Amino acid sequence: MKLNKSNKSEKLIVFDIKRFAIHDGPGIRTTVFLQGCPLRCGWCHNPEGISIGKGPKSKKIELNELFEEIIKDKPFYEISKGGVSFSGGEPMLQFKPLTKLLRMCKKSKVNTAVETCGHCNWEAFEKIIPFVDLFFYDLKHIDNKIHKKGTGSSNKIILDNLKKLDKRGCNIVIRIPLISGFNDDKKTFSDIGKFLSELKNIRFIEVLPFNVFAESKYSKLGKKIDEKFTKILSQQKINELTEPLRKEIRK
Amino acid sequence: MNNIKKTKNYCMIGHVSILTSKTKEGNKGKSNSDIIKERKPSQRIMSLLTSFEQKDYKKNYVFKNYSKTIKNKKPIEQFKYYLENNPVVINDNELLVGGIFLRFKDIKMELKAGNAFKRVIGDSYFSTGVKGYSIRTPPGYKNIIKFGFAGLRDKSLRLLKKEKDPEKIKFLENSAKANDLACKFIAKYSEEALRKSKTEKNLSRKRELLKIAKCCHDISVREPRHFYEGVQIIWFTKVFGAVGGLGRFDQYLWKLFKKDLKEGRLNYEGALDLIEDFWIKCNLWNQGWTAPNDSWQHITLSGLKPNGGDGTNDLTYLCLQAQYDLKLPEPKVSVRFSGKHPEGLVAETCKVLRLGLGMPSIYNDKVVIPGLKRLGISLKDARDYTNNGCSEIILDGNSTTCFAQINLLDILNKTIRKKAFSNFKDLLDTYKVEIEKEIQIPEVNSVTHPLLASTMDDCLLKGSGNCARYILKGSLANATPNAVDGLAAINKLVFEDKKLSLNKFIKALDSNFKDNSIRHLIINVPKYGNDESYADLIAKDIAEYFCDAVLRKYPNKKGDNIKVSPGLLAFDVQYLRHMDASPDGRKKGEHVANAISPAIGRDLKGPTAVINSARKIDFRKASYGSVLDMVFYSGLFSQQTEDRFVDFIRTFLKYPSTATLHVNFLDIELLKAVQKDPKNPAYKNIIVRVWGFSAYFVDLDKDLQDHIIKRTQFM
Repeated sequence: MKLNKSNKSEKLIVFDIKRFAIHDGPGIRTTVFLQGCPLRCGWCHNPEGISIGKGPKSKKIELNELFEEIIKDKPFYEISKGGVSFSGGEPMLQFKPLTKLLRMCKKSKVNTAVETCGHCNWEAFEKIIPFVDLFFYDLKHIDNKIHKKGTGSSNKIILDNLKKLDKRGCNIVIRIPLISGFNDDKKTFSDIGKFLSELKNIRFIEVLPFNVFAESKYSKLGKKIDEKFTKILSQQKINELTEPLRKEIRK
Repeated sequence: MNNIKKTKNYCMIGHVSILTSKTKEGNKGKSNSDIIKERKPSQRIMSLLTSFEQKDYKKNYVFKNYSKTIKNKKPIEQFKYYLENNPVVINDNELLVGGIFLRFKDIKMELKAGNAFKRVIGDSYFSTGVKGYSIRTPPGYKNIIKFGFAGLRDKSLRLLKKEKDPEKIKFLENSAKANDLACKFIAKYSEEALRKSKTEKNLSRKRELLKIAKCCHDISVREPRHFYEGVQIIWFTKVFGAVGGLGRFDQYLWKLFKKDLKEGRLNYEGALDLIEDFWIKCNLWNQGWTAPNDSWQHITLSGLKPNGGDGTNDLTYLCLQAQYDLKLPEPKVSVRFSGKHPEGLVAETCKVLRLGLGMPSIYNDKVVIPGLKRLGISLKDARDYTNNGCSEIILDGNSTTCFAQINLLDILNKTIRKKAFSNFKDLLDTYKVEIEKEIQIPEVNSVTHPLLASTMDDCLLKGSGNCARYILKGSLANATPNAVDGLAAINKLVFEDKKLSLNKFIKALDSNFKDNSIRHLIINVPKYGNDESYADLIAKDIAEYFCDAVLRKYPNKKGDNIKVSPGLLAFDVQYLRHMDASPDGRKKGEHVANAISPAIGRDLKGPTAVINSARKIDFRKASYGSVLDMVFYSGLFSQQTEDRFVDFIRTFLKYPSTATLHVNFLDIELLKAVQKDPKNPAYKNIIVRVWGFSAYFVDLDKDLQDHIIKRTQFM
């Protein structure tokens, strides 16, 4: 693959690259974590990636260099039908250079996935859609008030964008963080279920309980996490809470 | 260790997946392994397992004052004495009969000058104690199946009639005698079974005893004609003192199995029952070299047939099923992948691997066979490769082997102190000259065991234990990855960035990195195993240079049966931790890497990066073997993601890198807990892969335990 000279000056702000990622889409993948997020969720499992523009681990990397890193595992992508995933932070914050990089990946026949909280202008999605094989779309709450309290932002634009993405026929996997003291009630999951049952292109729904390993990250950053979020729920409790969601989907 | 913390947040704990109507098949986490099944072994096998755990088996097979008695006898007399005194015992529930005893004596480790360690073997013997018989020379199981001991005796006698050379006459006489002794010994088992059957009240056991009697009688007078007879004669060969690998078990027994199946004499369950009996037997006599279970009882499955077709057959899967059912450390199992293998074989192999026994190890024919061909070995013979019981590559039933090794890290430590270097190339060139000077090959070893010599291709025909078709002389380089990392560090810090002088570098080494800041600088230089060209290209240069240099120094002559074979393997590396501090940032007391696996704890970019780094080296040049070790966290793959592991292995095979891959599934935290409380019965059955072998973790000495714990665990 010839490298594109015009990409030379363009950079993405990255705070981590994880190879052999097996939970971020089909097959064996490389996940690139992009710095900065518009939301301020108190339970965020990547707190080092929240601040916009710069973070404690962030590095500006040229697109060509990043592409070379991604393409290294091409043999593994090829056999496992894997590829690259962009997570964060919120990748859509850097959608311009990201779109360019995604275009390079698609040209080299690398499967692409983007994990997003959905909080961005629809125009950004418009630009990126042609180069994305799969969206991981985070859905946290249907009730706007609670959403705003938990994440610092309204969910209106998030839900709108999700509907639009669905309408455009994009492949979507929904990711729901299950956080005690925020959305650990059956009603939330019933509401989410009702909302999702209207959509047509949801491939998969993943419910992710609070990541216990995130706690140590907070202390390293000199931050404190609200203890109510860190409560560990039993598998039985998780199954109970998510049952209404299952029910709605099955309808 | 940092790596673990860093990556732990990707483990999905309590994670729930909900499928929608749009879910594609691939997302459902459907495993494509469907041949190996959850099942319980037969009642007979379960009873055998129980008596194995009680360990009352071995009591029947203790010799008294054995070594003293046989000490000054000739090999044939030693063998005779061994057979005459080996008690004929048939235990409850056994279908396969015959006990063995193996042991080492007086093995000591001695520190030699210059940081190199040598295993000093005093008045030692192994197995039957036959003098000089190499512990790494597996017999010719193919010929044993084809002719039986009776057939080999008759063949020896036939050849004897025509032979004039007194040396050869002696050899053939001994072969005939040894095979005759073997037949007589087997016949004793027939008599014993018959005697026992007369008083046996349980009818079904009575039938079994009669079956044993018939089997032992038949294989004492002719070649094995049925699968049961085949497995029994292989076991007797071990009773007679065979050590080293068990060769291509599913290949040499295939014809007998197929015939029995066709003629309705045997079904799959029955065959599996016999295989499991054999598997349990291997666990009864498991004394080893570096640890219990370093036993070389190594079975190779599948791979190309000599005619170029794929060798995967029903026995391949039955052997994997036996491993899956029993979960025992013996025998070691390897699967060869020919490139023409059925797709499902990878998934089935992975299913067994995921049990966490560190088995099967994975061999790539695409790397091994071209490598053997380069030595001047015929394609037909090269396709019939196996291992010697550990990771060294040999040819099944027609090669003897021995090896010597050099320590590349030690040579580097000496080289940098030799003179002042003007640039990195100067240093590298000097280092290469030193490597070439040090390269060694071992002495020729002949097969001194009078019975086993007669089983090897060409020994009988040529009338000598020196005349196996091939004598493979391995020349190994160990600590290669550490040497590579050291070179990268010197290049970067001393010559490129000029951060410190070589003298200062050496002083830091001499002080065992008293000043940690220099060590810190070293650690931050790119290391082999992270898919970064900076170190990987040095690895390619050094590894391939070594292999070429071996063959330049000791070229293989056409038509000569001696073949020098370079290998990127290591032997006894756990003792190398006592070496002085080295330029890769390793302090005295820290372990060095095994074989061509990245230096311990230095591979930080995950398993794909390790494979990619290795792939830059042409391992066809390392015809004696090359091994990558890999440790995955035991909880890494869920039902949804286990296909990723299968695809990972598929990629390893499709884009050739090392000849061999060892995969451990471990929980390092658990192993640390075991070290603190080794007597806890809950920890008794934890099995780990060490290198050429798997063993119970609690049986390993602390050096080996630490070596495993410190390897990078992918999470």
